[in-house]
Amino acid sequence: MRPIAFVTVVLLAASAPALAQHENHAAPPSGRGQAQAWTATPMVLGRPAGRAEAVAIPANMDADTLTVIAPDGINGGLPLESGQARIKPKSGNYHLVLAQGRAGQAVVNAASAVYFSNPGPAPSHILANPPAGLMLLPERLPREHANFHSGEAVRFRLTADGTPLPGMPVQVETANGTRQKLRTDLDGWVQVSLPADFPPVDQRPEEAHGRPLTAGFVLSASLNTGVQPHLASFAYAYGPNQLDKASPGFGAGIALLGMAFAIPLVLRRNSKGAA
Amino acid sequence: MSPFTMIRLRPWVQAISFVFLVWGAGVVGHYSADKISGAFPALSCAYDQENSAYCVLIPIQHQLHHRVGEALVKMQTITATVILPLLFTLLSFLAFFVVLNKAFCGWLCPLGTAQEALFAIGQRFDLAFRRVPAAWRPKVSTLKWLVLALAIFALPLISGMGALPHTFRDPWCQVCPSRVLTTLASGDVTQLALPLGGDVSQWVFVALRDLGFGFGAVFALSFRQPFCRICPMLALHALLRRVAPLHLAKKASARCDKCGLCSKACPMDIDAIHREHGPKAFTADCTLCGRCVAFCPEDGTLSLRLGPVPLVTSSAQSFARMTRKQSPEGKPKPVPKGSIKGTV
Repeated sequence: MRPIAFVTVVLLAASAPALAQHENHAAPPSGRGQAQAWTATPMVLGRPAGRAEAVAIPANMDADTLTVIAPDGINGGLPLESGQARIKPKSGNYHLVLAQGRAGQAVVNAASAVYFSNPGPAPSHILANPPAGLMLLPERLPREHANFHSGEAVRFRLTADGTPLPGMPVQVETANGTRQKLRTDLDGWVQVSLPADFPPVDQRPEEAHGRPLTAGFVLSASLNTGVQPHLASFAYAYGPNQLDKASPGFGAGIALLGMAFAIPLVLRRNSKGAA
Repeated sequence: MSPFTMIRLRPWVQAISFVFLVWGAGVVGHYSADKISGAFPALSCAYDQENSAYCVLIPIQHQLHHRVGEALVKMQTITATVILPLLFTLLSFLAFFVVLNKAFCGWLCPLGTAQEALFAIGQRFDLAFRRVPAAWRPKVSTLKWLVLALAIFALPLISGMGALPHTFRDPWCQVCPSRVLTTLASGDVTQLALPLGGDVSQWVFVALRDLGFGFGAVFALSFRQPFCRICPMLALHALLRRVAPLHLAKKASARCDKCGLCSKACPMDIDAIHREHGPKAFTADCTLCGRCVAFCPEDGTLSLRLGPVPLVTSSAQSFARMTRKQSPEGKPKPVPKGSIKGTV
């Protein structure tokens, strides 16, 4: 190849990862608009809305401000229109969405995350360094092509201005009707085992692109400081455990059958066609 | 570097690559696969949640299904927002590919590494050695192109247009043995599990995946690189192999007519290495493993080159060292009693 052509190809190709965009495969916080039906907990939902866009929807609260935090830590305020705000990311996969406002007397910090198929920094930094106020955030989020799922243990941390809060009650609610009360450990962590509460037959219409149907969940915790109560929540989605409707044993049986077919080829000594 | 050293080095590179690509998220971070590229030129499975990079084949299939196919159905204008993601995926792939060319197959692919390890075990236990019969080789060589055309391009596009079930959105990934291998290696049995209901095509895909994985895992004890023969990644590499500087080079030599050891050493049974020279010797099936260079007894006839620069060149000395260790076909040679290991 000629040097100029080679350099051109390298420069073109080197710029590609920054521009590459894959489909959004992470589970969006769905719940399909049922948020207010299955819980009264104040929360914010993030949902995909077309190519490289999402909407943030506060629910069960009066939101004063809506903020999106990109993985690089850059904050941006979002204007609310008709009860929702549009998010257009510049780079990076997971963006943290924060809705701040009130629910009754309580000051609310509601959080969620939305996934975009953009290259960029990982969300590790923003999850490990929570914003000011009472916050409830997961230790980590699912990767592309994966969801939180029933039976999975996920850790969340409750913090106030970045300081972990030990021994605090945390409520877990799912759109499938599960209610749990847990308590944070000495470092402010609470481990949630996402419940196996999906119905045997899901009557809902299929998700786009054959993705698994998911349901919403929300974690919440309250803190009474004496002046006014504070409430933090984190809402996201989880799917059923794939092994609920599949058998590793049968799969292994078919693999063993394949192995059995190959055994005569391995044991028989060289014949025609062999070197 | 001598060919002998290269052959000794390659298993180490393969082992490190296997660990990195199958379990690497624990080292480079949980989200690394989303970050590194999503367009890696080896079968690093996107369904393995512990890996560190995704294979390029899944975004190609999904972009054809989710974007191009659906856009065609909606009769929308095919705008830049539809086509550009696919182009950028291919360019991301190319950004990696130009570094190593098809050596991603021969040096980094986890599935290739596992197959080589199985073959080495099988030959160590003196199981049968099998090759593709010479008359079948051209036909077998075309299979990978059919798989690329159908499974990577045509079926996802047709599925995106609604003429096939959504399970055809990524038909290669549905049957790819690397999906079973790498997920099992990371302790996840979901990709092996057979659905107990639902879509029939999904059941058929998983059954084919498991059956193929089982068959190949045993067949690889006697037959070198069985899955590579039909791998669409090899075909995708082959499309672009001339644009990358790393390549196999062969000088014409009258002695080649009487030899043919290079072809016997080739794990892909490529006859052209023996019969051709110049660019024709570097065929679409080559994985740049370098075995042909190591088993060429003539100084300078075969070489791996980076552009014009020879990196590894065949030599009689390396040939002599190689043949003390194993036959060109990969059968290990017994170590004579009383000899010092590695010197005889």
